[in-house]
Amino acid sequence: MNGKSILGIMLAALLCLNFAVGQAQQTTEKFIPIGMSPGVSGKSSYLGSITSVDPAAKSFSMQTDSDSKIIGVAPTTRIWLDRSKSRKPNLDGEFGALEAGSRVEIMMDPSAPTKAAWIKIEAD
Amino acid sequence: MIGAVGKYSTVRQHSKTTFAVILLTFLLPACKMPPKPTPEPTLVEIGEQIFLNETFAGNGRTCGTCHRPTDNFGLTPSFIATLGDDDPLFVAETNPDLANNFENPVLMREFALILENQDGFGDLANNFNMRGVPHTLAMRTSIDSAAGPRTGWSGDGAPGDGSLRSFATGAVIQHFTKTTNRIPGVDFRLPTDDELDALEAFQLSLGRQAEISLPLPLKGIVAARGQEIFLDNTLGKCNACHFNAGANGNPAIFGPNAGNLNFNTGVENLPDQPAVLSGGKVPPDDGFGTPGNGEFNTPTLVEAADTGPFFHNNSVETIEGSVAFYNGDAFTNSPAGQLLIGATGSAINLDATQVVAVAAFLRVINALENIRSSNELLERVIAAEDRAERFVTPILARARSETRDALDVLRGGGLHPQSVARLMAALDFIEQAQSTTKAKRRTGYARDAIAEHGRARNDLSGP
Repeated sequence: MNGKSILGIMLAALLCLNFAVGQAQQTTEKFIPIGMSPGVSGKSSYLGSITSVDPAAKSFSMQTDSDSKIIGVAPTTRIWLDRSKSRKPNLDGEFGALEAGSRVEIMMDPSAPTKAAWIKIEAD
Repeated sequence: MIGAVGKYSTVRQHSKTTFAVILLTFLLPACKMPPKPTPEPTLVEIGEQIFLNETFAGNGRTCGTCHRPTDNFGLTPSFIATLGDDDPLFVAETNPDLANNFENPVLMREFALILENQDGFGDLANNFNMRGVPHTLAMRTSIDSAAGPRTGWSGDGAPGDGSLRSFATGAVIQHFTKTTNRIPGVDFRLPTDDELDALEAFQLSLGRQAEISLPLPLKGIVAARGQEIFLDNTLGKCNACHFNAGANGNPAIFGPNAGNLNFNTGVENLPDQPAVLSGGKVPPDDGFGTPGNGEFNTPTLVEAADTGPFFHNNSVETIEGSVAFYNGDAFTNSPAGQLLIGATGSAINLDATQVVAVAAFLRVINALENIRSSNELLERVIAAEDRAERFVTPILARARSETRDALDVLRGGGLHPQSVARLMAALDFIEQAQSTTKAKRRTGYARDAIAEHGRARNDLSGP
């Protein structure tokens, strides 16, 4: 292998690889009840209740066991209605489904730490 | 009289002695060799039982329904053809609740394609992809990347934290459900943390635990030339993305911890894909992410030759065809192909003899891995001489399958007839080990098979 080729491939590697952040599959995540996401619940997600919602700022406050947090909702944030307690299918939700008092689980977006990657809202 | 009494006494004495001897004959072995307690199952063994038997209260499928132990923990059309119609693989044909939008039975039976909804479950009739079943061998070496774990064909197959441990949770939701409502606790139950731990341990135990180191001292002229082409970054250029014929990027090019990488190699743009030719609905597969970016992750090549059909959509049947793919327009015009041209000044352009040579190299390293793996399984059989037959039976079945695969990949390429003869002898010993009920004989046959494997290996490669 000549040096030029190695250099060329190295440059191509730098250009072509986005080294995309490892991505969990969100399509099946929708069906996992609050608090049961493997490797996430109890480790890197926030579990608690919504205390207030700010539609203008597209954010809401929540109280966890230990503190309160403000969570941003981005256009890419996935919102799901967890109806598993009622033995009904979980549904896609929207920002309007966020209501004070609702029990929620939040996974933050690793590439945008103030925004949620997904939100599960306990629903009937 | 006295004599008669004495004689009677003597007879009685002898009878007592005889009785005692008989008693001891039966009892002593039991005293000398108390039955060995069954050892506590290891985490890997627990994981194996879950993998093969646990349905998670779903439609009857297990992990092993699609990842068959004697089909390299994958699934091929030829294996599917051996299954009865009541096999849980065909649940879409037998369960009316799963008749629509759960599988495509025609594509499953013809091309071993499984329906996936990796971009969402909102429009089941239109938003799906048909993908092959990737084997679960050598995952110890092929999942990690600088960007996190990569599972499944596009590297984003697991929910939760995206790890192999979490993969089973997503698989249960996608493939085990009783209805397309997918309600936890109704249509299935989710794996527990303990089950996920065991499943991960089992999957990581399968196949190769370390990378091979190229170049190997191959004895076959064509395979050795194929290895040179494979390693030549101006000719085959294969070793850049399949370092040491594995699933990871070359650290000299992509950095020391790059690991498993995603690329858009244009497989989706191949003309005349078998599944598309069938006339069924086969939406384009956008790969990594939702919506996808067209990328799929790099599979390991050591295990490739006996695990076709190839690529995420099972679009190429032979290992020669999969090497030739990199000569064609689909790859050359793809993002990965274009960048390779930009970097090296030329596309991959192998002639037929070179394509066959690279494929011969892949066939030989696959056979070497089959032999290693079969020997490892046979060693387990030998070590388990005292354990129940039901414990060794599935291990022997896998050993036989590995040896059979070695035979098939060599014969399929017209390679190493001497080695093939040795492998046939090894296969015969394994089949004798399978048919005997005597543990010691089984052990002997296993040792004989290992010896034949050694001779076969010596014909393929130097030490």
